[in-house]
Amino acid sequence: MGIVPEMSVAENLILKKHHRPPFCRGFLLNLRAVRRFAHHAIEEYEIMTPGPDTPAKLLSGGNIQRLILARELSGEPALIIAAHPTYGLDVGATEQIRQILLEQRRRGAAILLISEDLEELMSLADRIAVIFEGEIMGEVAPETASLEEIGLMMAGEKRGVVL
Amino acid sequence: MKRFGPFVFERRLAPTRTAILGYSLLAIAAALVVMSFIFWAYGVSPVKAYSTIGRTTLGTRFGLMEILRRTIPLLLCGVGLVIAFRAKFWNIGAEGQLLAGAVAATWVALFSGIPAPWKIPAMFVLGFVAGAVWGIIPALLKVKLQVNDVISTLMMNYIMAYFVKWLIYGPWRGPTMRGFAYTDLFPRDAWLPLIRYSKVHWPTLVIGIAAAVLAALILSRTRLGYEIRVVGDSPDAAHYAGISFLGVSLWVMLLSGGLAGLAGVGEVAGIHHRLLEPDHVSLGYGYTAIIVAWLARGSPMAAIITSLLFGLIFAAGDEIKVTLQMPFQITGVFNGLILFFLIGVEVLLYWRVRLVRKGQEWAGKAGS
Repeated sequence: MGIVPEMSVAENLILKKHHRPPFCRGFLLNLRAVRRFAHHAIEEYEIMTPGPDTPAKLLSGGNIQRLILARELSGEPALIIAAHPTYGLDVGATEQIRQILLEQRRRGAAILLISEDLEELMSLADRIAVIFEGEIMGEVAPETASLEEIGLMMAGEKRGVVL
Repeated sequence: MKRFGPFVFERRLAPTRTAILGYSLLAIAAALVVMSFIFWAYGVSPVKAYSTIGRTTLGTRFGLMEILRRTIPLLLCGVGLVIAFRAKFWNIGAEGQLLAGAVAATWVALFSGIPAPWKIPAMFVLGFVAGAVWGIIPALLKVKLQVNDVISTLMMNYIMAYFVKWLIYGPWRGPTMRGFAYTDLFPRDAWLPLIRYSKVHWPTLVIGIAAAVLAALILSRTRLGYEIRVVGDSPDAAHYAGISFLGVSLWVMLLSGGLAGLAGVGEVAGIHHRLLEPDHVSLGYGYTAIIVAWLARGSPMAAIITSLLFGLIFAAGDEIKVTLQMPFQITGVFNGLILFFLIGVEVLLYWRVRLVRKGQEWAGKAGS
């Protein structure tokens, strides 16, 4: 779902927006607008790429993730569903992507973060709901919840909804 | 990484331009080497054969013009196939789409009653439309009913070939042709102008080159081209971005079939001046154009070069027949060999092959 591997970073950044102005006028693409947007996004999301024309498949995993975030978040969405957004990334990339999510939260976006990384959940989430076999076992606030409590819910023990 | 006997295959990310060019030339060279065995089996020295071919095709004005004439249908079909292949629509039906164009042109020339100055433009327009219609049918079948595009486009060739046969043996058989299975000759006002002392119908050649340039612009600079590339490269991403598969498939096959249709117009209006047996209208140009497009690797401009190469091979086939007294079908063998080796070197473009011996690691030629 993520990227179009053979296409350039710039072309990947406008996916879903490619048919709307300023990127598209009539049936023609506005390549200048595409480039301008790409330079802006590469800078803002610190995508490490030789340039906007590099094929997206040549980027590292972390940079592909940044590219996807740049593409998805540039439209200022009201709701973000992030499933394992830092899965398999190195420490630096992980930290940056967490910062980007927090930035979006400050902007006012609702974020549903799906993760199995407890440390990540504790540091990012405002509320944590634990799902066991498809059922929500309980909801806790990370400031007050203990790891034991979350662990018990992960093992299938139902707790009353806290919040 | 994969292991195959003593060989280790390592994935290569992006082949460079030099690698693509080098390996393509390697494939052509390999085909030439195997071809020389066939010459040898016919009792012709390969060196003499190649030098004769080179002298008679590249060395004379007549030879060069013959190359150009063969290039025209290959270029038009090839550019269309490049567009279709970019969307991973495997159009094997250029031959039938070409014939559809030829049928439309014949209708305009003999039966339409369109006045003289409009005849030739009308032939091109209706030829494009006929080829496009023949191309759009498999596109609809693929998107709406999930019919395999390779099979349906291929089968449509046979339908059109037999339709042409029916026409020339039946309703369109020329009354002045004394029972031969041709239509009547086109009136003079439906003949395409030629470059002097040659069979190069230059209007079609100009259209072919313009089509290559236009196709390149469409692919790189339009919304349609962008969507074609997304669909071809990542159907999942295309689905996610809300790109219409139906729209892209229809457009791609409209252009691909239409361009092949133009090639058919050129053949009947520029060379034969009548509709005749399908394998005389086109010497398999629609099939050879598949190799032209494959070798061009998604670039319509490169199709100009690769169609010239296969134009040369067709022209060489004539020389082989006349000068070396070998069958013209040799060109089919040669085309097949080139495609075979091209698909063979594909492995080397995306995989680095190393030979690993027992107990030691020996890095094989790394390539570029």
